[in-house]
Amino acid sequence: MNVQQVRIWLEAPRPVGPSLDLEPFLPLFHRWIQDDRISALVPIDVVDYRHLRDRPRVLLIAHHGHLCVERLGDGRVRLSFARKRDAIGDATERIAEALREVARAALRLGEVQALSQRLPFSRDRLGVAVHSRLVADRSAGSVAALSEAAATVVRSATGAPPARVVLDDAERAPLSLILELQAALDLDALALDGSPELVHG
Amino acid sequence: MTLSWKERLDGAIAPDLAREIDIFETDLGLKKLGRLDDRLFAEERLRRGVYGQRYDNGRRHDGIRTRAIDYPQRGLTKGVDTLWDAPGMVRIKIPLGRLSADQLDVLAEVAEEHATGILHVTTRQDVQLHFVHIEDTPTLMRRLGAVGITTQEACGNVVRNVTACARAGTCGGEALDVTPYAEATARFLLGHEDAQDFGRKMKIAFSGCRGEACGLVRFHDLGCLAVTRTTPEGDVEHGFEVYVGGGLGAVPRQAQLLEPFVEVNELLPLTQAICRVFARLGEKKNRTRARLKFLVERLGLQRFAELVHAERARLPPDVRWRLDPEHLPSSDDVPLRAPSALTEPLSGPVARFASSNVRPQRQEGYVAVTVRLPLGDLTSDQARGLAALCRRFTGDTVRASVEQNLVVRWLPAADLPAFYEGLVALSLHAAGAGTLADVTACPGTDTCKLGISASRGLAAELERRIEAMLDRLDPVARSLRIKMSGCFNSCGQHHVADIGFLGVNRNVGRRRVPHFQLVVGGAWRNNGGTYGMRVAAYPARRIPELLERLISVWLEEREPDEPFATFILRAGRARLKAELQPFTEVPAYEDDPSFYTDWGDAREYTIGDKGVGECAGELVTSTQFGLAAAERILFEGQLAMDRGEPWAAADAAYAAMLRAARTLVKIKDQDVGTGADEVVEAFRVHLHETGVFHDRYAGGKFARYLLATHASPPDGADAPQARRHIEEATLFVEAAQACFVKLQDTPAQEIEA
Repeated sequence: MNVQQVRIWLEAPRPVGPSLDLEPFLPLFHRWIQDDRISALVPIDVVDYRHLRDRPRVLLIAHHGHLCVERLGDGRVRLSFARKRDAIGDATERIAEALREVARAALRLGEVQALSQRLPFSRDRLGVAVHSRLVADRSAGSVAALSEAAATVVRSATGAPPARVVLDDAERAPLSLILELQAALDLDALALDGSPELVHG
Repeated sequence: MTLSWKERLDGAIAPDLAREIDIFETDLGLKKLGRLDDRLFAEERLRRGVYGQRYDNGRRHDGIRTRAIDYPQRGLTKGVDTLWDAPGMVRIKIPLGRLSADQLDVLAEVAEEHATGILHVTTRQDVQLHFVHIEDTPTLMRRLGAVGITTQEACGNVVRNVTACARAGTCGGEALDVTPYAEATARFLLGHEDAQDFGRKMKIAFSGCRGEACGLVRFHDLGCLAVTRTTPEGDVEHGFEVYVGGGLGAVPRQAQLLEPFVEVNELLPLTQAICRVFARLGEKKNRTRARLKFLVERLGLQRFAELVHAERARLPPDVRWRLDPEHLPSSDDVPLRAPSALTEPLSGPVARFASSNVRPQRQEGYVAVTVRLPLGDLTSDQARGLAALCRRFTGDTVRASVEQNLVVRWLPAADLPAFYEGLVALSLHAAGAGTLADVTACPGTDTCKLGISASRGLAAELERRIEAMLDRLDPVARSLRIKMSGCFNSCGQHHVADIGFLGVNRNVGRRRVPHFQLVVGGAWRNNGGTYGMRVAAYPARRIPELLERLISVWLEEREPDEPFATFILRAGRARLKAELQPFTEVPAYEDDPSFYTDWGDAREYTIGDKGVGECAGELVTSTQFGLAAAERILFEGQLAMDRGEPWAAADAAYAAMLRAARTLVKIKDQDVGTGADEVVEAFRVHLHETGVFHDRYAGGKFARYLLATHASPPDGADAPQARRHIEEATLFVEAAQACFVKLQDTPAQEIEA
């Protein structure tokens, strides 16, 4: 499968207390830009979509892709990276690269004391979606191809294939899979894996 | 092998539109090769809705310092000072705001694939996507084209989206359903040759009635207000009051009545004549004085009307002018389900929702539901979900409104509770449409190059606060409208709000502080019939408390039943200014640095990110466009030659000469047709026999290439013949460019001689 516009996400479970306020992500993302923490992505801006009633979110917009932190309806927080342009390599390399970016972002968030307790991202579950309907049309063939590529990445990252792969069956939504893992992701290892600098296609 | 979208959608897009998109894609390629002028390409992309966005000059202030954004293709531009790789905004024209379920689905998909997954509804019923890469735009256009949507002429110096009341055809107060007339006008003017040579854009709006706000004809360049009159025979005749010269911006003007009654079949020719007068006499050099309102002002309404009538008399007839019922575009806006009344009164949340968001239609048993979008934003998931709801309950009946909401029409009243549950599942069930909490805002500093203050940031904050107290608010206060613009260009339409805010900035100490100018007492109703009064500028941070105080003063001091606008006039500027004086204070940076940031933006405030706007487009004449098109056709001929298709290359060479010839002839004869015989004959008379086209050294040699080719057109040319045709056409198009320069440099009387 010629994976284009791949998105990977991790989720933090619903917090015990009040829902997480997304406001602190605005200065935080700006600081990442100021401190050159994500310069390889060619960051452009931070966009505030906290006013949305459907998954309020804050986006860090970059040339190669967007980082997004959003609050789901049940209070869970989702952190995602969506590759928009210039991806290189085969399907597994592209998925692996997006996973690396989201792992790096999760670790950076973990460095923020106020967030580290509130954002324990689940390491035994991840989501993968391919936004391009051209290459991923929700047919059985596309589902199988994406499942296989994603499983290869998971096996490489954790040493075991996913325990379960669940297809998001929302009509007309991009092809999306939830992968429940047998072994937990090692975000530190993932963040270090591969090229430290994202390669321009 | 995966097909491209172009291949997959082959045959699914209207041929003219498909060709338009192909041309743009070719031009993208030419621009990357450095074979297209920067300014020309900028206007080309603008005319296809591909717009610049903040930081597209490659510089951004990160809150500490200004730095370069390290785009991969450095140095490559897509217009004056606009970097190729900088993501931009795509404005998608939705005439009258009409959307089908399929269109909503595809908008959701392209937003997800090429933008941020957010659809933004504008105050002119467009949909905008942000952070789109220019190389993705042809694909995006094809996807939209396959469901009948175009971005063509969404920006640039052309007729922009034609807007109309979102309730047209269902509203009890309208004189006439303006839908088919607005639709016909939009189709007629799209790409019309008489609407390509403006100095600035032209905005057209339709309204079905005088009293409401939905159409806003009074602040448009051209406004059409539906009216009826009774003939001496006692028949009721439909027509339009036509207004001209309205506009907002830094110099707001109310449109003036040009014609008290224009019968429906006269609407399009009158519009065409107005376009011709604007193209011919409108300001071209001073872009800040180039809108139609300035031409009407300069000439005076009477003189302007005389010129329009004279132009109308000269127009060659056009079969498309007929707008009597059998010639009107058909309306697909028909109900899916039979009408039905509610069997029992509503209660609970749905009743609260219905009190603000639901209106009965004039057709018994149906209601129109306003889906309130916060700041005009809708996620891709919500758009898909809403499309599915419409397929189930109403059909293709959605319209974007000028208040940045969506109106779903033709819902059987009995289905309202079930429909509401569907909206709840999509988080689209916010009550308060058309209330104080339903704030209108332009993009401001979030994405707009011209933005001075964060209109969206402030709007979000006000919505949040008002929402929390909406049920406790005095009902009269609840009905007020708030609108805000991030700069004086007024895209947020703050002039016609009860309470409007306009983004400005002030120096405090050695730092800049974001402010908003307060504009009060405008009339949203009566088609945006009165503009508000400027009071003073206040720091952005103080606006929420200022708003609370302003409303309190009105509620405390109003006469019984005194409307807000009347109170404002009675109170006067000085009284208001004094009352709100405490809100002008800005603490020292050391005491409260929050005043030195804007709403929704954590960086220290600066106006250093402000860029050069593209609203005014680039001034490129239709002659320049025509000659560029001839060069493109020639380029396509060369590509055909490379592919080993000499017959196609020769045909393209001939077509390029004809295109260049017609482009020049139009300077002398605006009404020249498109047929080869007519073009060549006009070329011979106006440009060849007069010697105007002739080269200083080669004389009429290049002109004779066209005459000879026309006398014996290529027919299945072989390679040597095709090469000769390409060479001759290249020289002809070069000569046409030189002739254009000569025509520009030569005084008119000399050319005539």
